Amino acid sequence: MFFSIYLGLKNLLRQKRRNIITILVIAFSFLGYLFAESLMNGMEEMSFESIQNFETGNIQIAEPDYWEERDELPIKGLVAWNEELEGIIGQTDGVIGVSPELKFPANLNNGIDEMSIIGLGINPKKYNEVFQTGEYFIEGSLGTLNDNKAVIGTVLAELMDLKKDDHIILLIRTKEDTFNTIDLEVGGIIRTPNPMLNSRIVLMPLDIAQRSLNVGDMVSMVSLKTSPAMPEKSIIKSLEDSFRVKKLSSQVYSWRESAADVITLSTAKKGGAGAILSVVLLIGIVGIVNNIILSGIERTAEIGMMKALGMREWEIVLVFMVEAAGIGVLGGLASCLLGYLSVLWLVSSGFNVANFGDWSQYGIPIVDRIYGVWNCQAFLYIFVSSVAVAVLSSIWPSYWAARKDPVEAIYRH
Amino acid sequence: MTLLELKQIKKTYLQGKMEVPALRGVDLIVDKGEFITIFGPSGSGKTTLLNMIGCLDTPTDGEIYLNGNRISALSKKELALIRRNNIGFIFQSHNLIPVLTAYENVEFALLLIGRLSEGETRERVFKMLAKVGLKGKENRKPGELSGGENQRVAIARALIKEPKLILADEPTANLDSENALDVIKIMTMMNMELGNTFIFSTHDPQIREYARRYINLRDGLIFSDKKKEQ
Ligand SMILES: Nc1ncnc2c1ncn2[C@@H]1O[C@H](COP(=O)(O)OP(=O)(O)OP(=O)(O)O)[C@@H](O)[C@H]1O
Ligand SMILES: [Mg+2]
Repeated sequence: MFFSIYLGLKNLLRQKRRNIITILVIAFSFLGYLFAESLMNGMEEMSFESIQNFETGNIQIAEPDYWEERDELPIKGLVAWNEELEGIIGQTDGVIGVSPELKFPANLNNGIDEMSIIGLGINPKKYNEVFQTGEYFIEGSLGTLNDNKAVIGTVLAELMDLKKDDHIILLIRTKEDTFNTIDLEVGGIIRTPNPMLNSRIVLMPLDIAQRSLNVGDMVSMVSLKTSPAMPEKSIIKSLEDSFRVKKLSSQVYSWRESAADVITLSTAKKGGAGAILSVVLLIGIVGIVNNIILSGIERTAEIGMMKALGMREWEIVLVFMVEAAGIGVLGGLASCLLGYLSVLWLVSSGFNVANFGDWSQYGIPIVDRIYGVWNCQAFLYIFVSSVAVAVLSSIWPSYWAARKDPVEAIYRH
Repeated sequence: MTLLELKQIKKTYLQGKMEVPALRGVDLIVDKGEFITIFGPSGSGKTTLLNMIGCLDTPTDGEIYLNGNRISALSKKELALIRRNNIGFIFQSHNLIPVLTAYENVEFALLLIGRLSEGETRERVFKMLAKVGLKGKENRKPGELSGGENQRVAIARALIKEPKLILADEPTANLDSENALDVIKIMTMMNMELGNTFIFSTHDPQIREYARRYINLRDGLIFSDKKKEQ
């Protein structure tokens, strides 16, 4: 048996070129998996960050009725934004930003065209504590969001042919379902990594929105930013406890519940990774089977001699399997090395998705570049799979080679 | 003392639907220590006969006894074990494993039996390689040795486990006459020294002369069986 292993390892050096090609085939296909995996994980992570940093914060507080219907942006089931609520939230450990928001459907009119958008009444200072939007102004700043000023995204600005200081009118329905208009002036233009903000949202001062909708001190929801040092779950728990004590009907929701679309996408991602993996494994299997069959044919006379000398079939099978395992180990190492380099590139310089069209239409809240993420497990997994694939797929061709009739093998070769 | 006994050995090959009789009833008794050549025209059945004796193939009919054990009806696995422990082969082409050194190629046959310690194995392989004239070339690979030298490695490989029976099918056919003579001389020497039984086939009359018993095959039958007069 030791001889079989020894010979198998020696044979690795035999058809050097062919073995190297097989190793490279394995390495490059598995590298493809590592790359795609890193990219997809990066996409997911960035999507999640984008949602938290620009859309929902980490935690949202709303009335359950509103939450159910939140996609329709109802002006019903609102939360009273008052000192009591602010006090409760402010006293909760781990909350580092609180932003009340009033969200409503509106038609934006620039004097010529009309377009349906989402109006978002905010308190600029508080909004800035929770969201990163403030860092992405092309013109103006969050500070300019006062009086009857509005902030819009570049995509919307382009679509509606709007520039800073242009006047716009929002056509809305009030709480009582009567029509109303809001006259605003474009005070700032943003270009964020979040497509939603760039194309569909008009930011305006909360008090103007509240007055125009006739909702008093009510808001749709309150978005919170939490300290990364504290687990989100425990913050949610203590907020829920406080609400219960004060007999408030509001509920606490994690950002994950808003990210349903992206989370569906991550499930699809796992499917995609699985598909890539099966193709990659198939390539590995074909490479190994091909390699062993060719070796088996070339070494026919030698196999015949081994059998004549009384070597048993399983001992010959082992010779080939050890060789295959060696190819698997080297292929696995090579794919991890190449994978390391390509993921390193992906993590540091990113993958420009802007060249591949508008990804936001697929619900991916990323505008420019996707950066890869490291996943050590994937590397380990690839290495183990490479060896496993090599060993398992070598069984049948090794057996095929070892079963040759010795007389045939020696004489009719 | 009888080592090998063949009783009415027949072998028929099927070529498509045609039956090709390669051996048509061979009777043969071989004693220990004999040095036998099998000769005859091409297609007379020399290789077929050696393969039957060597347990590489089974006869269509008839019985073979090796050391008194009937081997003509054994399973593949049992035949492999008989080959491993009792029979040495020398083929026309050496069939050495190109990635192994001369030493390792010889050692391989011994490792298969696995009865000796590391030290004994080493000593025995070195001695055997010296006997076939390869002292100092133990660490060369087949690619670094001449055809004659490689065939000597193959002889060493066949002899290293000291088998009772050594079969050689045209062992010198691929060698020039000088190397061919060397090889047959080594075989003779081993036969004298170790007392193993040799059966070899050859087309070369000069090589044939080294045998002490001549079996002439024709059309799958023994045409003549003579011993050298001493
Ligand atoms: N596998 C096989 N299938 C069909 N016929 C075979 C097979 N092996 C041998 N034969 C036939 O059996 C006969 C004997 O062949 P064998 O190889 O034993 O002859 P040989 O004496 O060794 O000849 P040579 O001197 O050419 O080596 C020949 O007619 C050959 O064609
Ligand atoms: Mg022949």
